[in-house]
Amino acid sequence: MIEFITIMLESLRNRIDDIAYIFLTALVFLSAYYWLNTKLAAIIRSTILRRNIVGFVLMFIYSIYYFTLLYGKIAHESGREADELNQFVQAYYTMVISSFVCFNLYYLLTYRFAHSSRRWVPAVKFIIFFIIMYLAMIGTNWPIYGLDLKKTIPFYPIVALLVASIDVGCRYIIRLQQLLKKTKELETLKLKEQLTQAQLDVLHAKINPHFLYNALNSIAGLALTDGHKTRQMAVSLSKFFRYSINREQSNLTTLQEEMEMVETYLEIERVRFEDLLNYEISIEPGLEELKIPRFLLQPLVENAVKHGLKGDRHELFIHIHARRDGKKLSLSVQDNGLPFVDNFEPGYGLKSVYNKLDLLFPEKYEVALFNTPVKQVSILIET
Amino acid sequence: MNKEYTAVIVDDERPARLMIQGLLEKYKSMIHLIGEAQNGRQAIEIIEEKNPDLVFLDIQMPDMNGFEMLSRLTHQPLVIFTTAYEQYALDAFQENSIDYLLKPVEEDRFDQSIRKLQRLGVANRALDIKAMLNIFNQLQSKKEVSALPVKIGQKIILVNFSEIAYCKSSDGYVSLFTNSGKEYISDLNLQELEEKLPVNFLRVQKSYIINKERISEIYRYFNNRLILILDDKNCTKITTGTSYIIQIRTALGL
Repeated sequence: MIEFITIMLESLRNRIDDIAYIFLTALVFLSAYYWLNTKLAAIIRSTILRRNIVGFVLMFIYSIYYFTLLYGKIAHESGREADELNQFVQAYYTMVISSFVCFNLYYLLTYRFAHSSRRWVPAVKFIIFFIIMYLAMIGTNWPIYGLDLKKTIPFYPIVALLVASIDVGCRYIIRLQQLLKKTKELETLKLKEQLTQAQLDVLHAKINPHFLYNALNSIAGLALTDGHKTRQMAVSLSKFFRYSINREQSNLTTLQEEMEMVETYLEIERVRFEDLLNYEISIEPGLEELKIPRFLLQPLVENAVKHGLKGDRHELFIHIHARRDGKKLSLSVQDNGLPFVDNFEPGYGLKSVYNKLDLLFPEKYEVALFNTPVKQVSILIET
Repeated sequence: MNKEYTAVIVDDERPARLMIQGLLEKYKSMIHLIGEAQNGRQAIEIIEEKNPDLVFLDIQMPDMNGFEMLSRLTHQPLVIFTTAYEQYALDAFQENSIDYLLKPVEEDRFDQSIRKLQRLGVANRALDIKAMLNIFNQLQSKKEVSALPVKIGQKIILVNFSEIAYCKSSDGYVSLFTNSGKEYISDLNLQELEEKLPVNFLRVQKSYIINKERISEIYRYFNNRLILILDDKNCTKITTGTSYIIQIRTALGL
């Protein structure tokens, strides 16, 4: 054993140039191989065909380089040209053929766990690659040196180890790049989608035709009998629409402003539904100037009105409050309407609340629906 | 000479009822207002009791819509619908009633309706309520469901369909797994979930439903099965069931 190691170290010392040379070649070759392989992935679908083609192309390019060097060398040293050239060409083609055999063998041996996420897989792949490299190198040099174990055995494990490490390194880098690219793509895609969605939401709030027509019909209906109410309704409606037209195109608003808008909305609905609709709005002092997404609460209040008046017609009471909950802002819309059924289908309003928060407070919010102790939609935002 | 009519106004908003009342003012001698109702149940009571010739009917009311109300009547009055719905939706309704009025109601338009009523008189065309109810429901069901409510203790939260990578049933529980690897317990079973989820979800095995859009790779496996690799955080690997192969192949276009 000790003797073996001594021979190995000795041989290493003698051939340190060779090792550096092989290391660099393997690095360039394998990087180029994986680079080309990913570039061609979309064009050549069959993995095994693609790998062989890429391997062949690279081997061909390398052969040009290799033979140019060789001819240069031979030109200087006259005499043994034919012999040496023959030997090298033979060696090179043995290498090409054995590389193809090796690559395909490696592919066949490893494709079964190509996508396994088990821990030992990279290690097994590494060992398989190592063994194949080792055998390939012995095989390649056999025509030149014969099976001279003293020359082959100590040197090649190191080289095989190097090449196998480079292989794993290249794969790792590619995997990482793909992962980063994909995450990035996904994020931009998601962001775009949400942005459009939020813009749509604002638009939706601007032109909810149903609400507008009903309110205007109320104004027309009241005009001849109740001047005061008519005026109040017209003023509230203008206020509401001024807020929703949102000249500054801002996505955020103060809590105070949003609550005022909700109140305006409820005033309009109260003219329509009269005593059936009652509400209370409360903000814990000090929270008025906090920024929240524009039209965050309005859809929830609209839902409470819409669904709260369903079923047996009883008086609907809506309670909206904002308070501090530790470091978080807690907003809640409660009503005494029918409870949420277990498998209710979330509508546009609730969805838009999620979308706005996703866009403006990503990962910093929580929305939950409760039936007990009171029916409510509650929003927690980290501030 | 003119025939006289008795009429009832049905609308859940008082201002809207006032509006119709005001417009009826000048037809006092022709149309006698005999009652008002502010929801479907009241409307049924009044119409059954007083048998009016004509009903001004709001389509959207909280307890039931106008068509449902009509379908529960034994006596079929003439109907003029009032609604804030956009015009495109209403061509079908017009064919089946005296007229429909868009809110806010125009006076000219109202007068036109009354003239139409006089012209048609009591020659009451049978209302095809069922057809109208169908059309109405179609208009209503445009709502697109895109998230699943999930119960966690007392609270309900929403999980977007697009966030769900796959659903797995084990030991009588069904779990939803999101793309980011979170797990939620659903109180629905796989059968119910399959019905609830949109078409891009696919039952691939007795205990798995997957999101088709999350499949990143497919491998052939023995015995007519496939191995699916998802692109969620854990790169989940799922082997499909033999008996689902035909549905899977058609769904994935294999």
